[in-house]
Amino acid sequence: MTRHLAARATRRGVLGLLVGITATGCSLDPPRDEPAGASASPGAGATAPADDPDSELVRRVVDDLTAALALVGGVARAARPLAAEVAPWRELHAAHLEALEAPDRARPLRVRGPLPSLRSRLRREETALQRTLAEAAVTARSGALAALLATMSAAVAQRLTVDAAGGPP
Amino acid sequence: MSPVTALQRALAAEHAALHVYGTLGARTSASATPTLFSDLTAGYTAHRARRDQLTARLRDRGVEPVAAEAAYELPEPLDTPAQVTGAALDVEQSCSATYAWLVGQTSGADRRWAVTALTQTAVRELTFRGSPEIFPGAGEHADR
Repeated sequence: MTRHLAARATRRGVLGLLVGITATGCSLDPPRDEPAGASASPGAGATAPADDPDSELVRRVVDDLTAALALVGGVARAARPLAAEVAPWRELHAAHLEALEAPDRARPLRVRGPLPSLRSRLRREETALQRTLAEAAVTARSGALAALLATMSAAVAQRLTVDAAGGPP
Repeated sequence: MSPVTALQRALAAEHAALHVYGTLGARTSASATPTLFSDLTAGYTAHRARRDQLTARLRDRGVEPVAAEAAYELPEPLDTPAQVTGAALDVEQSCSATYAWLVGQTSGADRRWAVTALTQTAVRELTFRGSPEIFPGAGEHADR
């Protein structure tokens, strides 16, 4: 199942999404093909699920995203005033899981504590997730998957920046 | 596409970004809109650093880096701070797309550099009234 999901992630999910990753805005032509990382790693994006070299990587990323969603759900449940504040995190991680074609199986984590403590924990975990996604992007065999993971990492970084500034969710 | 060719295309993008930033700065009053001017200055400095890093990466491989074009098509109009801000946001979003693409075209240290560049560029989008995206750098899919 995981292998199957991972293989699809490196085929449909990534390729479908990354059609949008082009360089037109800087007077460059959009790439026409699968990113070169895939050609450097022939197995990615074109192999049978069982042979996908990124299966394990995708499984770990899905686990990390699921854990992040569980924490977000737990924080929202533990402190109603934070529910609206953390909603964008829920949307973000759910969309990222969907891009990897992984189901959202997160169950809200049991967490307790004052609001500042919950906020601090969430920020700490999201910061760790951002780094994990960046590192996963570096190690992915498939160029397309790498680009997807990198853009996920960048999205978490954006959200962390907005939260730190106290801006709108 | 080879990593060198991909780096050259990213460098060409940074040349274009720098050119646009220079124009945006020239159209902005440091006294009337100090925050915008400061943001543009910071953006220019960041892109100049990226350009220099890409140039060094290519030279380290014994490759002659692509030169800047003599001229670039500029966004128009640029008569108001809002228009300048919008143009700066366009530059950052375009460069985010370039770096997301570069991530997929490279590996190892080059890819790590591109991942960092993408993250920093995506965050800089927020300076120019950009909103957090689900997939920054993914073009029309960014807000999917």
